[in-house]
Amino acid sequence: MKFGLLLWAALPLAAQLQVFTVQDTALVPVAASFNLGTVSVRDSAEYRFRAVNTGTAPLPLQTVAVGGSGFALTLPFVPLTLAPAQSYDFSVRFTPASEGSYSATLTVNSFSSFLRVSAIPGPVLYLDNGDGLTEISVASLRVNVALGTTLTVPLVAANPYTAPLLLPEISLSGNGFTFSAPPPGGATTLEPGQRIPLPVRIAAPAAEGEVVGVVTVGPRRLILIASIFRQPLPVPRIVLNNAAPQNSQQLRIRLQLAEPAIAPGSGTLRAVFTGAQTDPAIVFPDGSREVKFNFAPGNTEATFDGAPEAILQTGTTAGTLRLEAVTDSGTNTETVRFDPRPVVIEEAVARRNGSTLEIDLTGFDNTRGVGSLNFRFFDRSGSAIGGVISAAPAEQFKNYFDQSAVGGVFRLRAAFPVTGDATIVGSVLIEVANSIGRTDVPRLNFP
Amino acid sequence: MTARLFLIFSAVLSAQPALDAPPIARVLDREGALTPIHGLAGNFIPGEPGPALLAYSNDGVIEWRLEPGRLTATQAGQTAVFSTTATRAVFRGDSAVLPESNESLRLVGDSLLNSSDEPTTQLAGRLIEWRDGKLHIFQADGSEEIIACLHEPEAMTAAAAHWAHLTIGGQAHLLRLTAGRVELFVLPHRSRQ
Repeated sequence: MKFGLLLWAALPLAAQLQVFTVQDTALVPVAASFNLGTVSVRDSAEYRFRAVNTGTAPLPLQTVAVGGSGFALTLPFVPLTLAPAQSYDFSVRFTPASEGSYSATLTVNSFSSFLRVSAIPGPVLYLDNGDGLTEISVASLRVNVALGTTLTVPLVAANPYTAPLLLPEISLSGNGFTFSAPPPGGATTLEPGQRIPLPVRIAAPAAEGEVVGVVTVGPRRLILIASIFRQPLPVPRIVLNNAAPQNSQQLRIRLQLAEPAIAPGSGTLRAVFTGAQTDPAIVFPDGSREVKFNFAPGNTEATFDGAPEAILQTGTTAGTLRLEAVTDSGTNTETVRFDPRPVVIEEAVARRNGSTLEIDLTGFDNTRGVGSLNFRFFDRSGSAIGGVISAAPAEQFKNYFDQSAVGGVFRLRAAFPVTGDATIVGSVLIEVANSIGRTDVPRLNFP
Repeated sequence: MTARLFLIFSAVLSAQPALDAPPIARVLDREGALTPIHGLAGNFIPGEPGPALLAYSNDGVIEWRLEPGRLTATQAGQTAVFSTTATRAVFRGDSAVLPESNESLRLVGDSLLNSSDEPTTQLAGRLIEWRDGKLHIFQADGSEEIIACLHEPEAMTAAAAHWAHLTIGGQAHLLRLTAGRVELFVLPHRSRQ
């Protein structure tokens, strides 16, 4: 008679409302009496349902409820209207207090179903904290795992009863989920009070997202949901190979972390130069002012396209060079000042070309303001010949630097036609000055 | 004696420009374009790329160029030409080796002649060897200078009288060969600033 009433109650809705359980991806129609199976005591099971408007008119959904000891909707229901073919998903959680048979009535509008489930003895699951055990009283456990790392969930199963507990299977499913130590194979009997460790190792996949594993210990199931997140790379320290970098150098730059990188990480090393003039020589090897760096898990040293250091030319212009190591966590900077300084002569050559004395000076002026150039010639015995020959090449240098695309670098070629016996000239002293000071070129001997 | 000597400072009047960007070397860039390198040691500035070549070498005495269809060697303003379909060449001193045809050529006067002589191993007048993570540079006077170079160079050519162009781990380098000042530098690509 009761069965007939339930059937009668479902009939008016049959044309427009149908209720299913969602089992994996399959939909199974819910009958007036529906067996949900077995659940381990201390476990909690969730059953997913779907109410579908199979009619051609809108369907007000006014009631979704479940009544019965240990049963509850996972979320409160709020009335809504389903358009034709539209569906509404909801879940029922069942948590048995003890062994036995349980039932509840599921009501969806005027449809109702008699739900049945059995609670059977099952193991207690714990998390081993190292200094104690914490019971797991939920059906699913959520953990966070950094990309590129592994996490071990220290699971322990125990028999809380005074009688032996038979576990038909102990298994684990899910991509990336493994037992750290193999569990007992086949059916296992836990003696009263016995505990077995079942540590689950979760290896994070290569991409962010979520992975799910299911631990089955006899009738008990535990769903492990691992959120894979990208651990922000800490900002590395900038280490220079030179405590007092100068212009016209190749600076070697390393990036170091205080602690080994947990996961692979990358960032950008930038060189920002501020000076009175630009300088195209200030570049990394690829010709740019920024370069990517990477940290491999477990490493404290960055690599630059596989190399342990980045090389940066420092140019030949006075100014401030700011190095910025940028990661998702922030920016670390290191500032290097190139103070204005007297002209630097890198190479000086004196030679004879017939009766002409030729002098080549190669160097740089980081102020780009050479103001004077003095030559003093000496005979082979070291006595001065005549006075100082001065040139005021400021305008010439200015024109050169204005048109040059090589920073403060220059090559000056001076030719001195000699009237008389040029072979008596043995050497020359040269002074070059800019606004900062004077540079004395070491004595040049004519061959 | 000194009273009869007159020096006239004539930098401005010189036939050559008195001031210019110091030239260092000429190399083939990663696209194979002949590129002048200006600046100072460790402060290199690649200039405008020139013609694309298959191989190039310049030790300050002989400039070798391999381009599609011909090999040329220029010395003291005179250019010798040799027709070839070679796409690779190794230059050492006055000799060129074309590995694909196993030919060896020597510059004699203004001609490139087939040669059975073993080509000199010298590069820009020096013998350069890599072993045990170091470059050994034997200068013309026989003195040896050693610098660290972790990986063996994949390629080595003369780039100027005192410079060699090396490729190490895919990265261009310039090796200064000047006696007593031997040093290895990274050669940046042309600036993208």
